[in-house]
Amino acid sequence: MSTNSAVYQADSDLKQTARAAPKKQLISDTVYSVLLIAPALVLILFFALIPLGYAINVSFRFADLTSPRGVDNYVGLENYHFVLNDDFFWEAAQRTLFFAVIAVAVEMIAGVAIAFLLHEMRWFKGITRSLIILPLAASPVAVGLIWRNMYHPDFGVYNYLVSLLGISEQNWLGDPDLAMYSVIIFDVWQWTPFVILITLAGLQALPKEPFEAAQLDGASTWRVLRTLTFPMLTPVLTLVFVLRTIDAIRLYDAVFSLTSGGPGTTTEVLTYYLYRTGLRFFRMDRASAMALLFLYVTVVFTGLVMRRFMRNIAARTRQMAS
Amino acid sequence: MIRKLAILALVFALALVIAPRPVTPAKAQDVTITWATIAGFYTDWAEEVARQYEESTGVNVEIIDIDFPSLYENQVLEAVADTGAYDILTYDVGWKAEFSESGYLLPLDDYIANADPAVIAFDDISPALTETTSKWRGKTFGLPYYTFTMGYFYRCDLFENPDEMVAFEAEYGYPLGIPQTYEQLADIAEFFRREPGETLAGKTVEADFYGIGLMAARAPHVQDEINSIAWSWGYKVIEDDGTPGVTSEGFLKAVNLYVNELLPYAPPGATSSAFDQVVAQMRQGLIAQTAAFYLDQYPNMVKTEEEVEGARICTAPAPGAHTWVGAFGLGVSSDSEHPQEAFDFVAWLAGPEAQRAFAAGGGSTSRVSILTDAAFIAEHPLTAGHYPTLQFVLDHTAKSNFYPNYLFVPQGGKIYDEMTTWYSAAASGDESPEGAMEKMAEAIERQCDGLCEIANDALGENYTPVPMPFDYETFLASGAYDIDVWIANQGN
Repeated sequence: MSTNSAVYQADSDLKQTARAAPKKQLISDTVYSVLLIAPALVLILFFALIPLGYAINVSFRFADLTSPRGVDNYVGLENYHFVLNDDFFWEAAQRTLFFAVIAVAVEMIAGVAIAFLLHEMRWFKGITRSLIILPLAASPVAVGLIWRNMYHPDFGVYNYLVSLLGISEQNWLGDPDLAMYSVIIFDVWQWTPFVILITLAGLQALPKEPFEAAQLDGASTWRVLRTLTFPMLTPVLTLVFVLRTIDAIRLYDAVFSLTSGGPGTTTEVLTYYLYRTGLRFFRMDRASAMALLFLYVTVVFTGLVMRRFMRNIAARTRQMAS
Repeated sequence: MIRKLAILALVFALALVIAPRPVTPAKAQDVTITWATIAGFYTDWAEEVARQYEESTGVNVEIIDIDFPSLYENQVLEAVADTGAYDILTYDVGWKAEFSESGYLLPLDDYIANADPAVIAFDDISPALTETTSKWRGKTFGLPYYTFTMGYFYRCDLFENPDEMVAFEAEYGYPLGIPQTYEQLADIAEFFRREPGETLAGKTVEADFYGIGLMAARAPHVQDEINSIAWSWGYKVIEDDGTPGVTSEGFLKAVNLYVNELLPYAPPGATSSAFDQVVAQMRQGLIAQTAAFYLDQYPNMVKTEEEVEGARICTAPAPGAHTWVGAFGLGVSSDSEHPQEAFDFVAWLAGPEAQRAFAAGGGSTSRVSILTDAAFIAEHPLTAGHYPTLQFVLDHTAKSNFYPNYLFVPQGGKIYDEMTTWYSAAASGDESPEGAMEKMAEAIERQCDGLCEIANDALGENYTPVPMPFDYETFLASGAYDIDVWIANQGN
C-alpha cells in the first residue's frame, strides 16, 4: 500500500467512526477557535489597535501637551503637511535609510558567512553558538553605555586596538563623519548573531539527499551553493532580511545610549527625532503624524517583500502536495 | 462528601471576603509621598536622609530614581496626564518657568507662611538661587536643594610652577593666573597644550597633555559652557524683545571662540565628552583646566591630588563670573494627594538640618550659613573646598541682578534641549557656528511659536540683564581659590 492510499484509508475509517457514533459537540469548531485566539485578540486590541486609533485621531488634531490647549480641535491634514515639509524629518529619514541599508547588508553578509562556517564546524559548535548569542541577550542601552566608554578616544579600548593595526586614533562618536559608522558597528555586533542563528537553523534543516546527489554528480562548491543551498535557504534569508530591516529602521536604543543623536544631528534617526518631537517637545500631533507615515512605509515595505515570500511558500507547498 | 467539602470551602471563602473588617484610624505611616529625582549621587544621599525623615515623622518617602536625561519628560508626562504619580518634582532651573507656568507645581507661599520659620529659614538660601530656582511671577514654586553653579577648575601646581609662569609671561605678555576673561582662558589653553617629549613643569611629557577639558558632546552640558561665554560678554540667547539672540554678531563671536580657540586645545574626545569624562580627564592628568564647569564636582575633581603626582586642584569663578547659576529645585506637584506632607518633606530636605548632612556627605548646599561656615569647611576640605568660590559666584550674581532672559521663558526646557543639539553641531563641525546658530534661532522661534514671552516681571520693571565686572582683587585676597590658603586666612 502506498503512503497516500494509507492516509486515505485512515481518514475514511475516522469518518465512518464519526458517523457510527455521532456525538453532540458542546461548542462548534469555529467558536472554539475564536475562544482560543480571544486572549491574544484582546491584548492586540488594547495594546496595538486602540493606541493606533488614538494616534490616527491625534494626528488630525492640534495636540501640544504642554500648552493650555492640550489635545484640541481637528486641523485636517495640517500635521501631515508640516511633517512632509519639515527638513529635519527628511534628513532623519535619510539617515535612517543609510543606517538600515549599511547595517542590514553587513549583518546579512557576515551572518550568513559565519553561519556557513559554524555549520561546517566539527567541534565546539554548541559552545560557539552559545557565545555568539550573548550580544543578543544583553540590553542595548546597558551595552550601549559600555560601548560609549570603549569608543571614547581618551579612555576607550578601541583606539588602542586600531593602533595595533597601525591606524591613527579616531574620535568614534564625536566625529560627524564617523559617528554613524560607529553606531553601525555596534548594531552589527549586536544583531549579526541573530542572522547567524536563524541561518544556521535553516542550514541544519536542509534535506541531505540533494547535496549527496550533487556530490555524486561532481558539482563544484559554487554550483551547489548557487543552485541548491541558496535557493533552498531563500525563505529563511528573506524572513531574516525583513525582520532585520524592520528592526534597523526602528533603531533607537543604540542611538540613545551611544550618541543621543549627536554629534549635532549626524546620528539623529527617525525614531530619535520622533521621540524628541513627542516626548521632549510634547507635540503629539506632529509625532503621531510622523509615526503613522513611518508605519505606512514599514507596512508597504514588509508587504512587498512578504508578498513575494508568501507566494514562494505557497508555490512550494503546492509543488510538494502534487 | 467531596461536594459538601467544596461547598463548605466556598462558603468560608465568601465569608472571608464579605466579613466586615476592623476599622483602623489612618496613621501617619499610611501616608506615602513619592519623590521623582535624579538617579546617582543625589539619590544615594537622599535615600539616607529620607529614611531619617521617615523615622522622625512616620511619613513614608518613596524615591523614584530617574536618569537625568529622562527626568524632564517623565515628570511632564505624569503632570500632563494628572496621574498624581509624583508628589514632589525635581526640576532644573531651565524648567522652572515651564513647570510653574503650566501648573505642574503648586505655589508654596501659603505653605511657607504657615511653616515654622526655623525649619524653612528662607532667608538663609542664597538669593541668587531663590531667584533662579524658586521664584516665578512673584510666587515661590520650589526650594533649591543642590546647586550645580558653574566655575573654574585648574591645576594650581602647574599655574604656580616658576618655569611655566616665566614662559607664559614671555609668550603672552601678562602673568599666568586665574583667567579673568575668556580670551585669557584661550591663551592658557593654548599655552598648556604639550605633545609627548615636551616639558611640563620641569618634567618630560610622555603622553599628550591638553590645555583645557570641554563637555562638547550632545549632552546637556555644552550649552552651559557656551552660554557662559556669551553671558559674560552680555549677549543673550533670547533678546529683550523675545527674538532669538543667537545669531547676533556678539553671540556668534562667543560660539566661534569656543569652537576655534578652546576646542583645538581640548582632548580629542571632547566632542563625545560629558561632565563625567572631563572629571576623568582631570583625574588622569590629561588637562590643565576646565571652564565653565560645575563646582559641585569638586569632591570628584579633588581626587586628582591623590591620583596624579604633585597635582593640586584649585577653583575660581568662570571668567567674568557670569555663568550657569542655579540649583535643582524641589516643588510640590499640583496633583499631589498629600501636598502638606510633600511640602513638609521639601522644607525639611532644603532646610538647614538636612542640608548640613547633605553638605557633610559631599553635596553642594544652597544654604549661605553652611557655605560660609569656616569651621565646617575646615572640617570637610575634600568635600566643601569649593564653597568659598561658590559663595563668591552666588554673591556676585545676586549683586549684579544678572539673570539671563532664557530663564524667564516658559518654553525653557524645550529650548534647553534645542541648545544641546545645535551647540553640539557647531562644536563637532557638523555645522558651521553660523549655520548652527541659524538653525537654533529657527528652533527657538518654533518652540515659542514666534516671539518668546519673557516674564521677568519678578525682577522689576527696569530689569535689564547686564553683566557686572567681578571683583577679582577681593577674591584673590581671600584665598578662596585654594582651600588651604583660605582656611589659613580665616585664622588671621
